[in-house]
Amino acid sequence: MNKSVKRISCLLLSLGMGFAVACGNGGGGEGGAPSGALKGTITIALPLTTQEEQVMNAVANAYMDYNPFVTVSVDVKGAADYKDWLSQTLTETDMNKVTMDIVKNNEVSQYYGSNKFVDFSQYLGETNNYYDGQIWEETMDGAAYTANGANGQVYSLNFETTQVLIYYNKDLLTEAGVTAEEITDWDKFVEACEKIAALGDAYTPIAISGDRLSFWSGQLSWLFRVYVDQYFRSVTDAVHTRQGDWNFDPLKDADWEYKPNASDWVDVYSDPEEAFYAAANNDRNGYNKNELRLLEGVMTDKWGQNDPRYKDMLTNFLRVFPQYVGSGFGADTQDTAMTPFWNGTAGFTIMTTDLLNEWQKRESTNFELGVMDFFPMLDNTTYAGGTPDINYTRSIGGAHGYYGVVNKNAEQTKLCMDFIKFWTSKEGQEVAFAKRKELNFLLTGKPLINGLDIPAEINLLGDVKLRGIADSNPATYFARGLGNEGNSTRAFQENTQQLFAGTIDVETYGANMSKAHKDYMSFYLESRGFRANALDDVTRYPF
Amino acid sequence: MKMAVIFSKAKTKMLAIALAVLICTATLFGVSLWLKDKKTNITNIGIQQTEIGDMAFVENHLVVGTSSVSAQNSVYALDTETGNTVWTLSVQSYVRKIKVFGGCIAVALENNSVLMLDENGTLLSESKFLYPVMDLDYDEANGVLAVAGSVSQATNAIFVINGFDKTKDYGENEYSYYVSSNVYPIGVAVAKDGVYFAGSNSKVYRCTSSGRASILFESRYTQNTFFTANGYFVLGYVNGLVDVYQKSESNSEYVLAESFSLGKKEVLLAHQKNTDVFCAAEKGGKLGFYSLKTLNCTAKGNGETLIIRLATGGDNTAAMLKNNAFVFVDEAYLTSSKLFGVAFIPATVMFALAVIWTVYCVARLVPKHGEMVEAYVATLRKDIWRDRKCYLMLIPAFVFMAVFVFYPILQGFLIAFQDYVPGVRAEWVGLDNFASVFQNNYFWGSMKNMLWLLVTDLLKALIPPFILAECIIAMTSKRSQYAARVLMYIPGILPGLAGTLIWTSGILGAEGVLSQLLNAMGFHQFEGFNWLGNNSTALGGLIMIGFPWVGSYIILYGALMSVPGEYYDAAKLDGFNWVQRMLFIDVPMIRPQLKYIFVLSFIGSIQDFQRVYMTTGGAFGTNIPSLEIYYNINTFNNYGVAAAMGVFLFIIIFIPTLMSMRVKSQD
Repeated sequence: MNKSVKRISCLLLSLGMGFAVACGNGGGGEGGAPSGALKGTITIALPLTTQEEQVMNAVANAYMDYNPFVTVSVDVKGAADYKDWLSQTLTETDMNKVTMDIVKNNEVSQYYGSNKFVDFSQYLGETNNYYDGQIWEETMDGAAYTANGANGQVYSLNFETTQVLIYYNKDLLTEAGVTAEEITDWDKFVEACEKIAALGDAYTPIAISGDRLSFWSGQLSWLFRVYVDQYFRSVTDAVHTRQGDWNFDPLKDADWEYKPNASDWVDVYSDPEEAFYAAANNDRNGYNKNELRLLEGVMTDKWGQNDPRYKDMLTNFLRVFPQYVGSGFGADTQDTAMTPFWNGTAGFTIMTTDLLNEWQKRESTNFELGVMDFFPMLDNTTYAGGTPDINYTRSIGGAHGYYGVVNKNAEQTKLCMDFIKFWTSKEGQEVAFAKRKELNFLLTGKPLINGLDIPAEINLLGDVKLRGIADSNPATYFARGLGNEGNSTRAFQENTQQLFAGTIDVETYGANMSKAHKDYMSFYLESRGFRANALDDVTRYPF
Repeated sequence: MKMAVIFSKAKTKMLAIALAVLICTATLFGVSLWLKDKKTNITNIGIQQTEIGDMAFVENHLVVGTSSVSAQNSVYALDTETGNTVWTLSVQSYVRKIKVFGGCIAVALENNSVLMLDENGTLLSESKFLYPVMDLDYDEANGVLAVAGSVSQATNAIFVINGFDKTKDYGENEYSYYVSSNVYPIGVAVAKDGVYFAGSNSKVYRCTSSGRASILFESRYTQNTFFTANGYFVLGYVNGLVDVYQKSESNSEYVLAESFSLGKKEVLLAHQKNTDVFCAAEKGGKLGFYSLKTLNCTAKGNGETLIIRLATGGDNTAAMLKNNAFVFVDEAYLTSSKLFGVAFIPATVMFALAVIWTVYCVARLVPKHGEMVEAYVATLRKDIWRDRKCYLMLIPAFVFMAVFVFYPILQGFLIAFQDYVPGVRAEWVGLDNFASVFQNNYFWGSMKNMLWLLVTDLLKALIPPFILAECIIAMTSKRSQYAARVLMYIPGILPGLAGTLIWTSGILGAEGVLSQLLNAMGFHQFEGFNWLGNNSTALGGLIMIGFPWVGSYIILYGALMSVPGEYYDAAKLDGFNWVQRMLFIDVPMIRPQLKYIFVLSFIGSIQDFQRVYMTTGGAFGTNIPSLEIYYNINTFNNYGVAAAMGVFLFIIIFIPTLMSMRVKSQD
């Protein structure tokens, strides 16, 4: 472990983030691996870095040791054009003709539901013979197999994690007379930005990109989702499926209660910290949402960008944007926007835990790095009814990986499932850890596999516990556009850019976005495979 | 005179033959069309309800259940001969499934209920289940009811009631046993030896009374539908294949007995208990009847099948639901449809040729004009024969162009009329995509930007290169000319994308040269100003890219070099100055090159989206139609709408190109 990493570790610990990931129980000992009667070839086609490729190859080789008649080849694709390549390949009508088997499929969601990808939900009940014969789904945290199909299908397995955090330049903050501990809410954050800006024109309070990608899937997208979750947490309750709804599960939904505050849990957990985490994770299990109720609320302006809560949130954002962001905000890419941060002239930035690996590579960076969670916004009293629903923020990020299996035929699916079972077993993960350790390649978060012992050398974040997941709140569907629907997301991007540029005000923004959501609702319904008139009766089976 | 009469007779005779051929081919064409819609014993029943939940045959009635938001839902029976409604029963929820078992009708509703009706529509019982019912099967003889319920793809159960009494109401917990499953049941079946279900994976399971599901056998692909009868398991897959599995006599394992393909889309199956016939169809496509005895196809044809059901007794009648009308088909219909498929294209081609020939024969008989037509055809024939080598050599080029140029253009044009996702679906939607384009403010709003860029691109492509070329020509020193040419050509070597990126961040960016220069000159308001990140300057910034727009000066320089020196001498004698010489001698002389640059720049400007995509991504009021097309394909996945936008752009590009070609031909 090099010097800079040690400094980060100390900070993380000093900020009290050393909590255990809320995974399930341990998995027991080794053994029970299958004998290797399988035959065939598996092609893993992923956009991998050099280090990731080496880790992937290590896992593939270990698997082939068990299965000598199976060839696993790792075909590394370029990240920039991965989506285009995959989209083009998926146009093939007969999937048996394509070579790739395991891909990253989150950017080609238009092919979910078209039988191009295997639905993992149909295989998770099988045993994993590489992991003591346990039921496969029981070896993983539920977040690893969150449904991404409209009717509960699981087209991607996400057993890796990452987390978006706020990073700061401790030296610069000290120079500006700010300590990280002082920044407990958005108001304090604005004050800190003011002080950094006062240091001179050479300094940028926040290194953040405002280009198209930032709004769609980058830094600004994360920021909006975190705070929409804080302001609209009660939406989780409002869209909780009810008796009579098409997806009401009496065994699951009948007992679920909306309890978002630590005070709701004090009778269950005597430890306040435990009570807090129970509240933050209240909607991660035992909960089905009726997405149609959410969309109905958007159509009737029950919630959305026209809601005083959203407007209050925007007013808070406008205290920071554009005055405290870089001069290139709006056009700079994320890499360009991050330059001042790496140069030591920016106070804060927002990034996934991948930043830590980047930090490792940049030996020349000569300031002390600090990390903090998102701080809550306070009601700025501009709008009546604009009070945030809860007084804390939740994590953004969580599970990722998006590994999908191309649906060719039963035999090939069986082969791929077998490999992924190995990959998600304790042994498969240990192989990956060993390679990471050899490469000094840090984990960006704890894998969502139960019973793992992660070597400290690669586990920089320690046992960081997720403060819930902001994205588990259905309200984040309208945080930007309607989910990932293109037209409404573009409307979000353009309106927000105009709002930050001062071309339109919050009221106009709300009206424009409300209209955009209504205009593009039909596209969203179609993208989810719902009937065009699904919102006429939200209790009805929508397919 | 005599010759003329003989000639006329020959012409008349040929016309008679042509007419005879025309009549024959017209008949053939008509028969092929007649075959298309030849339906025996068919009643087309138009219905008012917009949404049908399901349907099934009971004797000579078709029982239909509605699933409508706007109207009271009901189950009703139609007489298949007359189309009249025989009975109607209102229901409290949406109809999801209707199945017929002997004399009783089971109706599954979305409110987790199963209604049992007699064949006259009288309600016998209403039972409740824990989950919404997706499928059910009932063995009346042994009194076993099996219900497949599902909340979502991963939360499912098979509820089994032994000793089921169809006249008794059952509560949601009154089952003999249930099997909870992660696997979504695409169907459930009660056989003599047990209860089975097929998952939406590739496995068929057997339910045990202890509440477990054991794998009976594994199939080959992702299953979509299934039934079991006479010891066979018939599985329809999502890829258009149907497999029939049968228990092996040697080791009691299920083995593949027969397999056939209907197409590439999901398979639909229909079967009536205790019959040997089943019907299989590709969703929206082909349909066929098959025998469970021989495992052979007895009839196969085209159809646009959405729901199929076999008539009671398996008399080979299926119902297809298309455009809210029931269409009954049988083997005769399928046979005629198949014949239509075989006969239509040759009949159409022969008919078209016969029409052309007949028209020619008639035209030959028209006084005066007939001779002209004859002469024209004769000349054409002679010309073609004379230049036959040229035509033959052109054929490969045209073939490749047809495959690699014209076909994609045609395909793009067709996609404009389809709901299209490559490799998934291509369904005709009429003018819907064009309607979407008309309503798309981004597309039409971006036209203004396109025009700005187009006009400036044309000016940039023509004026600066022309002036520069003239300047170089005007140089007296050949060495200076050479140096200037080389220096001006160097930027052209730089890849366009790299040049754009240099302009984006190095020149127009917040830390770019332009802002720094203005700041140094005292315009401090431009310090750190991003010219491409602001609504008021972004479009101007885009226009600035490439300054001083040397562009294709080399073409114009070459053209100017070829202007005869005598013209300049004559102009000098006439007292022309440099500007007059450029305008009145150079411009007319290099008009073809200017026109060439004009057309290329015109098309290039309209088609170029990279400049905007790489710089502003269309933000800050810089969106253009070609970028909108790109986003519709790559981001919004609206391929049909993108193709319709492409058609509009094609028209915009095509008209001036055509005009230009016309001017050229006049020249």
